[in-house]
Parts: sequence; structure tokens; C-alpha cells
Amino acid sequence: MTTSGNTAATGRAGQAPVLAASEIRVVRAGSAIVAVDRFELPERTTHVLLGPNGAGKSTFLRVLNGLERATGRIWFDGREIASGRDRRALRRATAAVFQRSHLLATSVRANVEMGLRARGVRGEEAHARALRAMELVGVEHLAERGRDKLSGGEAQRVSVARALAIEPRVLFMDEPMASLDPPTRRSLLADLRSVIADLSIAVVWVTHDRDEAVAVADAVTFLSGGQVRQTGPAGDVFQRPRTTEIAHFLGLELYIDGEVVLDRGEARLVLADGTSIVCGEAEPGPSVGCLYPEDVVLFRQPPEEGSTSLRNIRKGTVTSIETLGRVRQVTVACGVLTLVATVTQAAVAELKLEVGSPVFAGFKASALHVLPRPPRRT
Amino acid sequence: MGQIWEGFEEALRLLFSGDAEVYQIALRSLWVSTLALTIAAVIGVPLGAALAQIRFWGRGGVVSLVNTGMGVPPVVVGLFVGLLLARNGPFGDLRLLYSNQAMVIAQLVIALPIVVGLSMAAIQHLDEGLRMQIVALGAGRLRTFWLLLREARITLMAALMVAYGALLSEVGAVQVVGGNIRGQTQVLTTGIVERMRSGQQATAIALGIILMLLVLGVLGGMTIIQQRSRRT
Amino acid sequence: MFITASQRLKLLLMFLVVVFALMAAACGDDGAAATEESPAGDGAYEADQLILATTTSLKDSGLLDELVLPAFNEAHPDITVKTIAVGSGEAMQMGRDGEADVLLVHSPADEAAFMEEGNGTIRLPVAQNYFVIVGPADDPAGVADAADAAEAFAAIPDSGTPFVSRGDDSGTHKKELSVWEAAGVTPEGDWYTSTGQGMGETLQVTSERQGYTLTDLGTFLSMQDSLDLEVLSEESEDLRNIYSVIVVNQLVHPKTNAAGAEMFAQILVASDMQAQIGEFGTAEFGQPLFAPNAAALGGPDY
Repeated sequence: MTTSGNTAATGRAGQAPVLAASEIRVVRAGSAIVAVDRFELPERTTHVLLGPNGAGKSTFLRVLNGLERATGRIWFDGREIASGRDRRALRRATAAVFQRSHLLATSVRANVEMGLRARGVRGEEAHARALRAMELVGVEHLAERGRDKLSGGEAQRVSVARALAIEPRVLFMDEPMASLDPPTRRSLLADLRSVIADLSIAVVWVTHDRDEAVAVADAVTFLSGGQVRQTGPAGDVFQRPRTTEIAHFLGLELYIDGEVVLDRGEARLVLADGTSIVCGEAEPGPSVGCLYPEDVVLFRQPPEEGSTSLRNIRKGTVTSIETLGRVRQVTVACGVLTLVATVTQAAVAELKLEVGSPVFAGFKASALHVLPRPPRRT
Repeated sequence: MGQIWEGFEEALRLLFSGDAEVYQIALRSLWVSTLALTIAAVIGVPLGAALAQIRFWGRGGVVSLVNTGMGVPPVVVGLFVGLLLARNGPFGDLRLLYSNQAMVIAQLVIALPIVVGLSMAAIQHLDEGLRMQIVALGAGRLRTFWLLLREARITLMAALMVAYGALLSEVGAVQVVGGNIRGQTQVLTTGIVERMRSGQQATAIALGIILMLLVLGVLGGMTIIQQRSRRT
Repeated sequence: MFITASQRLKLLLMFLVVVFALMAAACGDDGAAATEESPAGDGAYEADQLILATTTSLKDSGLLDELVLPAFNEAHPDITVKTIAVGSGEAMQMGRDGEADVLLVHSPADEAAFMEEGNGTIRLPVAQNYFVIVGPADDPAGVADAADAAEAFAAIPDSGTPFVSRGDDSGTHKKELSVWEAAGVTPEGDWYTSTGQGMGETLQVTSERQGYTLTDLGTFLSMQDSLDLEVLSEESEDLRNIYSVIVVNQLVHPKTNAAGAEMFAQILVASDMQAQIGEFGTAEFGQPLFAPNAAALGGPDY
């Protein structure tokens, strides 16, 4: 990877990204709320900007969409966006969906046609394109309905249809699911995934929800404090978070302190009591291992040798069972190691788990994410 | 009670016998206030919307001027406009004092700050995100402006209702700049005052009933429009 | 947030242009109409328009609207009379400012001063009548038995009956104050109330409180049916009320319409008009409201 501004417009595999940015800075009240050195969005890619609230994700999205001014350079379709006129052109070639649906007080159809009208598309053509967009997200039956007669999910679908109607080169999604209840969110998310795949458009998607990111992302940029902490293909970022902050945000809530040693070509994390855990890849040295609770599997009896690919199995005692939404989070004390497993209610019943039950907990070597230990605060 | 009832009887007789002068006065009132409101709306709504959205040097001053203007008593406006239009005043050569035009101008001056101030509030109270969404959809400045105005139309309608009510029932300014000349510039409010003063209670009550009906009718009509536009 | 400074400025200018265009259109209209109407080049300002500043009581009696203005319009159909009803003091102030062409007032001392200042060219008495003291029928202060108004007023404070004043600086109010002065009474105390309103409202209040007040006869007669009050006073010199017409001096106030004003004065003092003034009110109230006065004073007071 080079950092030269001139090459920012050329994509990785020689294919020009539809949208690229370099050296973006947004300064408010003396402090930089966005400082992104490089950003590229190839065609047909959904790039998720992930990070906690206040990380500058939405501000960065508005900069990319030409809604907010910033220092730095932006290229759209290989051409640099330099003037207010360019920003307008960028806005006209793209569309945005925000957390709130922001529909105008008129019919669904008129709302969906709004972006088209702003582009001079009227009459039959506008009707036809609006209808197609409404069909894509399944709101065509609501066409004549007023804004106030829509549920939150319907309104957000209309907002998406309004964005899709203009057939944008880039679709900007700024926390589009954040105001919806979980069932609505799930069904809209599923539909959006298939629509985005069918239309093969480029998407910039801002969210603070890991599951949402996992569901849609081709590439992920993790932002915090306005800075890029990690960027890359979605699998890389989710599987190999670079810092404990990212790991924590991704839901790797379990931290295991130890020292990585290489033993016959295999990396092992040696714990305080001298026992060790088999890791996937890891550099030797003081480290922290992290696990997704859903990667930890529980057994009543120790599994027979060879019957499982779990390289790490430990015996322990259940110390707590908590309800987390529709799943149970079971904490198991295994000597110096405390593991947390996310299991279903049915599994809890089947394994007859209760506080004090003896239990075996196991996880794959590859499930353990090993990060360099951050400097300790004294 | 008896006197009041007699007054009412006489008033109803005047109303139903189609007393020419009574109706002429009512029409003049309606005409003057409607014209003033229309001009105030044409100028004031865009001005208020602009004030709500555009930051420029001196904006704070303009806004406080508008807010002050909303509270100026009509009679003071009348005095001020009267001085400007007086024969020996700066606009004396237009010969507008004691005319219907003078009353329209004075009422315009009363209505304008109300319309501007309330339009500004109406646009400001729209969600900032809505504006961003409209811009993000590729709308230009004028379209954004227009869509925001449309979005705030119910509140804007309320602003115009408030202003219209204020104009129809205003007495201070039309008295001073119109002169309450019978057959020329007498309107409902000044007509009522004159007849109360000179002891013609029945006519005063008749004019009062018309004024009340007009205000109720106009405001009721606007309320219906408001409710209807809310439904879509 | 999304609009740059220069765009803001453009937008603002756009609106200012619209505003000024509208204002120009409105004013242009009126301006054009004005030029059409005004007789060009004869030097007389507003020759087609006459502003008459009159006392409220004279206008409210109906004398102007029913008698004088129709006669004037018939004689001079090309002149529009704009009748502005104000107090005598304000009417003369309009004359001093050159904002009125002709005055109808009833405040002789002030009128004399007005003439001395050179603000008027002609001052003619046109009508007279007598103010009346009205009050409850049982008349606790014995107003009906007093020789003149001053004597009547002097008895009111101790009669336990309130006196209601207009307190609005009108000619009637000024007359009332001059009577108090003649009576040697300072109008203050629980018994004395000011309404600050017109004659009609003041009469209402007086009737409600069963008190005394000073009123012109016309307003009282037109409201008599709804009032529980009686006329108690006799015609006495200190209740005499003289209405005069004054032509504002065009030499001092060049924008006035002196020609029209003089024609108006002429109509008022013409003998047939004077005769009609002497009859006015008889049909409605069974008695005249004014006595003709032009001849009585023996001629113009230049």
C-alpha cells in the first residue's frame, strides 16, 4: 500500500475505485473529529464504517457524500471533487439513507419520486422508476399512503426506495437500522442484502452494530476518535482484530493474559499456572487471547479423543448463568482461566446446567484471537 | 340586559335588511386586511425561511428587529406610518394618507414581522436532518427551500392565521392612517369605536357581529385547510 | 451548514431584490395613480382633495355626514373631503402642521391663539349650542336649581354623587375643566372619575353609577333611551359651545388646499345652510341640536 495522494485514485487490482479519499480532516472547535488518511470504495463493494458512537463515522460519511466540507481530497469516478459544483454533482450521483427516514408529509409515491424530480425526471418515467424501486424493497402496496400512516420499518423501506429510485452510483447508509426494533431490523437487513447484491452497487454503510456489519460488509474500516484503527476485508477485521479496543467492540469479551511461545512450530499461549492453550497464528511475546463467547462449546461429559476438532478442552464449574436476549451466557471457572460461553436456552436445559454444575468447555485453536498485550496502566 | 337585547335586535335587523353602509364597511375591512396579509405572506414567508437558514453578518440584528416588530402595538405602527405618509412627511407627495392604500401599508407593517418571525420559527423547528436528507437526494437550493416550506406548511398556515386575525381586529393603525372617514376608510373596528362613542349601539353591535363572524369564518376556513393538508 | 458564505449572500440578495421589486411595484402603482389624479402645473397641491379636521362631537352628531358634506359634494363634485374626527386640540395641531386644510373646532381661546400665530386666514363661527349637565332624576346636588354651571358643579363634590369625566383632552373635557375652575373646585377625590373615552362610553358609565357628567346634547339625545339620566342644566353662558370653521394659511403651509377650504367655509356660512343647521336634529329628537351662528356674530373674524 502506498500513501501517495496521486495513487489514491487507482484501485488495488488496477480497477479504479468509484469513490476514494485521502488526507480527510474535519476539525471542530480545535479538535479533529475525523482524520482519515486513505479510503477507497471499489465498485460493487459494501464498505462498513464501524466504531463506537462519536467515532466520526457519520461525519466521514457526510464528507464522502459531499454534504459536509473537509480538508483533503476526494475522487469520484476518478475525478477529483474540488468545488461546490463538484460536490453537488457527487450528491446527484449518489443517494443517502439516514437513521431516521425523513419522509416529507406527502404520499409514499411522491416521496420515492422526490430524488428523481430533483434530477429532472418526471411523469411516466418517474412513476415507472419509483414503482421499480418500491418493488425492490416491497413497499409498492403503500404507494398512495401518507407518511403518517407508515410503521417505522415501512418508513425506512420507503427511504431506501427513495434512494434506490435514482439508481445511485454509491449508496450511503448512515445507521439505517438504528431506530428499528429487532424483528423489523432483521427482515429489512435480509432484504437489503439481497437488493444490494442484485443491483451490485457500491455502498458505504455506517453502523455501530457488529452483527449488522457482519451481515453486510465486504470491507470494514474501524474508526474511533476520528481515526482509522483498522481497515481491510471484512473477514480479516472480524477474525484478526488488531487491538483489544477493536476486539472488545467486536464482542470478544473474554481476555486471557499469557505469553506466546512457539513449540514445535505450534503457537501456544502459556497461562499464569503454567498450562497452555493452542493458538492459531501468533507472534511470540506477552499477549492477550480473546474469544467470541459463541465460539466456546460446553459438554456435560468430556468428548472422546478424535471426536472433535476442538484443540482446547478444559474442565470447570459453572459460576453463573445470565439471560442475554434470547440466549444464555454461561460463565465457567477453569482454574486460572474463566471462559464465557453463549448457548441457547435449550442447550442449558439439555446439559442440565446450573450454578455449581461441573462442565467441560472447549474452543478451536483458530477461535482464539491473540493480540499483543497493550501496555498496562499502573 | 334589556338594552343589550334591544341592541341585538336592531343589529340583526341591520344585518338582514342588508344595510348598504354596514356591508360596505365589512367589505372594506376584509379587502384591506386580505391585501395586506397577501403582500406580507409573499414577502414575509420567503424572508422568514431565508432568515432561518442563511447565516450572514447582521443576522442577529435582523432577527431581533423582527422579534421586536412582532410586539409593536398597531397604534404605534400607525403613528409611524402616518408620519411617513403625512403631507409634509418624506412620502407626502404620494398622497396616501387617509386612503385605503395607507391602511394596507400600515397593516403590512404590522403583519410582516409576525409572518417573518413565525415563518422563521416554523422552518427552524423542522428537523435539521430533513434538510440534510433533501440536499443528499440531490435537490438544489431553491428546491430544498421549496420542499422545506411545503413541509412546514401547517405551521406557516398557523402563522398566517395569527397575522390575519391580528389585522382584522386591529384598530389603532387603521384609525391613525385611515382617518376613519365614513364611506372612504371606515373599517369594522374603527366603525365600532365611532358608533360606541356617539351612542349608536345597535350599529356598533351589528358591526361587531360581522367582525366576529369574519374572524371566525376566516380562521375556521384556515383551520379546515390545515386539517385537510395534515391528512395527506 | 451546507451553504457556503458566498451562496448565502447570493440567496439573501435574491430575496432583497424580490422584496424591493414588490415594493416598487406597489408604490409605482400608487404613484402613477397620484400623477393621473393631480391637476398638473396649477401650483395648488391636492386641489381635488380637502382634509377636514373636525371635533368628534360635531362629526358624531351626524351634522357633517348628513348635511354639510352632501351639500359640498353637490356644489364641488371634483373635490373629495376627508373628514378626520379628532379632539379640538389635535385638530388645531394638524392645522399648525399643515396636515389639514380646514378645521371645525370649539375651543375659542385656543382658536384665537391659532389665528394669532398666523396659522389661519379665516375663522368664522358656524353654529352654537349649549353643553348640558346630565345626572340622576332625583338630582342630589340640585343642579337644576343652580343659576349657572359653575354653581351647579360647586355643589357636586359634597352631594355624595360621583362625577364622571371624559378625561380625554377633548373640547368637552376642556370645557368641563374650565367650569371646575370657575367653580373653584379641584376635580379630585373619590367622587371624581375619568373614563379616558368618548362621550358615548362616558355616558354609559355615568348612567351605571348614577352620577353627573357634562355632555353635548346630540350624543345624549341619541342615547337617551338606553340611559337612566336626565338633562338637569339650563342654558347658561358658561355652557355655551361655539363651533368655528378655520381656513389654514396656505402662505405658511404651502401644501394646503386653501381654495377648497374657503369654498367649504362659504358653504357652511351660507344662509340656506345656516337655516338647515338650525333645523338639524328636529326630525329625530324633536328639538334642534345646534343654533346657526354665522350671522349672530356679525361677520367674519379676520
